[in-house]
Amino acid sequence: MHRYALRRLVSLIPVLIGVAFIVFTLLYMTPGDPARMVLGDLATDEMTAEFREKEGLNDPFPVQFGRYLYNAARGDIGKSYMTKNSVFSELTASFPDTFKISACAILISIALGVPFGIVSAVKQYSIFDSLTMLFAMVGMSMPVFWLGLLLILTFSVHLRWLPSSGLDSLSAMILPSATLATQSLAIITRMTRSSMLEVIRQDYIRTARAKGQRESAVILRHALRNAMIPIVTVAGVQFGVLLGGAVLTESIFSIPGIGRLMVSSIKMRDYPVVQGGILFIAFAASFVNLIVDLLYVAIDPRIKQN
Amino acid sequence: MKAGNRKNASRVLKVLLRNRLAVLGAAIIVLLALGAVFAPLIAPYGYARQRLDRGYETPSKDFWLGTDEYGRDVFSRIVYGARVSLAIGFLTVGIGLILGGLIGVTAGYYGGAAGGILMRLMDILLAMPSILLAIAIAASLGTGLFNLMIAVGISSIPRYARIARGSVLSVRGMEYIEAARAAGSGDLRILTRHVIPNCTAPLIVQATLGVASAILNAAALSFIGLGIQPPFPEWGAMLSEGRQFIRELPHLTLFPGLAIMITILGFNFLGDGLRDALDPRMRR
Repeated sequence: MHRYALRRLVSLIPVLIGVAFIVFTLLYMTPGDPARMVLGDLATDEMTAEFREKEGLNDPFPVQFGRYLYNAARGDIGKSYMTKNSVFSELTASFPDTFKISACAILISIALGVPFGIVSAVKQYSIFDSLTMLFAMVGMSMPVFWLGLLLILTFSVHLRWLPSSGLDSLSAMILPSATLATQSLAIITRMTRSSMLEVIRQDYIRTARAKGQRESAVILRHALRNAMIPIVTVAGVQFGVLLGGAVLTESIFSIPGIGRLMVSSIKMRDYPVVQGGILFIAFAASFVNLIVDLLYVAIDPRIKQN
Repeated sequence: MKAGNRKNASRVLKVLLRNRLAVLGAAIIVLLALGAVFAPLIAPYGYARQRLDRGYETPSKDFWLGTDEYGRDVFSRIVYGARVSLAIGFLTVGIGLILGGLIGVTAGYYGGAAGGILMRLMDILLAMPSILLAIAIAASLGTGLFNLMIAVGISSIPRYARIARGSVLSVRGMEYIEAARAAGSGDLRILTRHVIPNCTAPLIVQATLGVASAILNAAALSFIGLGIQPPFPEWGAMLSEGRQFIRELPHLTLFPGLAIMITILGFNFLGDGLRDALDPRMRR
């Protein structure tokens, strides 16, 4: 198990180097002179030339990328053009807020999606099933940013029940988490339903029923456990999607997380922050997938034997 | 083979027509497509026509869905916006499907080191949430309709590549492929006549659902200012512009969002129905 975990962790390295390469290349190709962006329009040509030389911006691409990687391995992913702070410290300062709403959202999605999916599967073709599936489809089709605005309009502007921005209190977390959760809740509900439907047609479920076990035990102990692998996979993938989705949710609810930092950095062409943010989220998403892979073994001992 | 294909297609169509939600989805898409094509006939005003004396109006007889700050008719802009959204949806799926399909088919059919490298590259792209990848590409290319389509299209490539590779792998070992090879068919003929036609089902489903996610991602990029720039009537951009008036003029955010949702719902209903009809395991 430890060796497997270590091997999977090591296999993350080339993926992250690849992500760094793609993001670095994309932003390297971006038109505009970084020296001009940092120093402003008033800087003379001599000043920008000096800056380019000092920051190594005149070096060939492979040298620049090599240096970026070398520094990144030591936790230094550049300085913000705007604030002059280290990108890493800016990201770590804003990550807790992003993590808070993403974690809340994934918890809501699992806590509601799994039971709804189970009941839908057990009562296939019932009114409950049809309604759940319809709501799930609507949830999947709703633009996150639109849903967020509608919730603000309803609960903050009209009813005045909940705050529309910030993350200072528990009540302030409700709207952003609900907004972010909707799509993954829909996906997890659908996945649970289809995974359960496949399992409850198996022979061993019939056997369990034939043994006279209570229906709840058949569903929860036998069916759900076997249906869990695809559900856990989807939940893991969704966590990565949520971190990406936070970009929109945070800008709607004015939450000072990584997403909003990235959006404002894009607008101000502060590319080291954009680059670092994408790398940071890709790392976090890959790390969650690694944990999901390790969870498989806990859920399904057969995987360990293989 | 051809008669079999036709029979199969008519069976799929029959199953699809029995699925009410899929029919509803198809109807929504047809209506949108008609709206997009005949926009100049349907929309009462031009999408950029400003009437500053009639700005900030709520829905009325003159302006069915109200007007924005420049007095532009929201309904007309939504109708014209269907052109932009559908174009984005179909063209980006075209980019993803063709490039991703080629990569996946090559990696699946030939395998080897080149196939391995291609799929590792796809894994790297998949490690980034697609919206972030699209953001990175859009930030590098700059704003505008064309760049937006490229950004969203490229970010969808790995999904098609994976599905195509998986399907090719499952077909590659089939006896009829071996038979074709024994009969002297070359790789190209085997690929175009036997492998690709038998791999299309999952790709069609992904492409239909892909139109939905492409429209959604493009609207999201426009919403954060990386997509289409005003005065072009893109639904995400309209939402973003209307956002500042959400308290006083909620119709400016309500209707463009509704347009996005109904469109996405249409493609998702149809995609789901197609999956049920094309997947033999779902046959009841």
